[in-house]
Amino acid sequence: MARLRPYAPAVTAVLLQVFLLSRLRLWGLCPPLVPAAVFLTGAEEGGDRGAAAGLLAGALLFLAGGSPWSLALYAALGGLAGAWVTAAGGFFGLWIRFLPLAAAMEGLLVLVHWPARSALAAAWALAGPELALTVLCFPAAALLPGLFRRRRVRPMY
Amino acid sequence: MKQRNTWKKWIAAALSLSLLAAALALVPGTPRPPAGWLEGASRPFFRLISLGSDKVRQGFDLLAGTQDLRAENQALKEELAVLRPLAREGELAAGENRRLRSLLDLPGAGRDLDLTPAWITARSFDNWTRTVTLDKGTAQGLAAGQCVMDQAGALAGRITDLGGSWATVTLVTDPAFNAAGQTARSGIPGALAGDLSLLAAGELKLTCLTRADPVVRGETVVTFGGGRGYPSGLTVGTVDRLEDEPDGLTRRAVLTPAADLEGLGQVFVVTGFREAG
Repeated sequence: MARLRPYAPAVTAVLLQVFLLSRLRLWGLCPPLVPAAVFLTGAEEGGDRGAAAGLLAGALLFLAGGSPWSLALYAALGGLAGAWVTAAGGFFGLWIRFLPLAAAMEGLLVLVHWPARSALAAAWALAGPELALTVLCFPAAALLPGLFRRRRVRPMY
Repeated sequence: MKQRNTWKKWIAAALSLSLLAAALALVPGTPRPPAGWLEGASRPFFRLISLGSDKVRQGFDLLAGTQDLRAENQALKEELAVLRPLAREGELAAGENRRLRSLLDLPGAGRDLDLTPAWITARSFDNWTRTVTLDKGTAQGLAAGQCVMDQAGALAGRITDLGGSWATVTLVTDPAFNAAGQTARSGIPGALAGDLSLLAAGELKLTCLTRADPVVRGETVVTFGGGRGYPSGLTVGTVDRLEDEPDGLTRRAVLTPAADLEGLGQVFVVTGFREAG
């Protein structure tokens, strides 16, 4: 079980996203929790586990009816987070470093949706608020790893 | 301990799987088996959570909306007072219409819908689409392209993907939604579609309008079947504003959907219809 613990926050984020957050709307948008959870796994556990957690989260989202591109997108996010960021930067350092990766991810989403559905400006009009919400969800995602940390029991003697 | 540093391999594997899944989705008529299996396996949980979260949301709405409900009730009473005389006039006109039709040997006007009730078990969780999943599928007579209405008879969306006992409905605000529509008062036809720029606001558009078309703000827009496999006259929404299209030649009407898409619980699928007149 200990080997699976690093992936628990990302899986929890997926479950919260699919079952709970999909029913909430902030400024007309659903708060995206998974990107920050995958990023934090990469930053705290390293690129390998970050990419694996991203792949796992993307696969679960795909199975729940999401886009097949979520596999590659989240694996890249987790892997890059582990390669570029270390948890030593502290909470605010991580939050700031999350911003460019989240922006890059939104940029990719715009590029994917642009030729298929709508004008570039229309896609950015959606991506901008979604980026803001993704970044605002970071503190909530930062609470998730704490749920699965092993509690140290103080000896009685 | 030596760092394995295999994250690039993980990303490459993920990209390969994404490409494979996307390629499979492009092949026409190929269902997504994993998605179908998960739909089947997870439906009871989705249904349970859906019921629970709907009740919680309804509770919050009730607490927050009591004051609004009083004001709405007063406004509805005033509206009712105005509408009653009009309804009486309508009844008289309908009776006269029936008598005249019988005199001229014309068939009766109106439409007859076969409705299959269904419950929403899941909603799309990303911000680029607006879809819901129903707990009924081909086993209950559902088919792709059929219209889905809310309890008030307003169009909520159309079925785009389905399995034996589940169906995915593309809501009217989804960028992939398309249907033919027309304005109820002026009868101007157009193409109903969602748009990424209107998605967050929960709106859709009626396109292909010219500057000469007398479409006005507040006008109701309904579906226009014309033998396309869905009935005419389903309420879609009301015109909120008129905008020029980027090409500068045509206009579009931005519509507020008549159906409360965020509060959908039970819906009705139009599995058959007969139109006359």
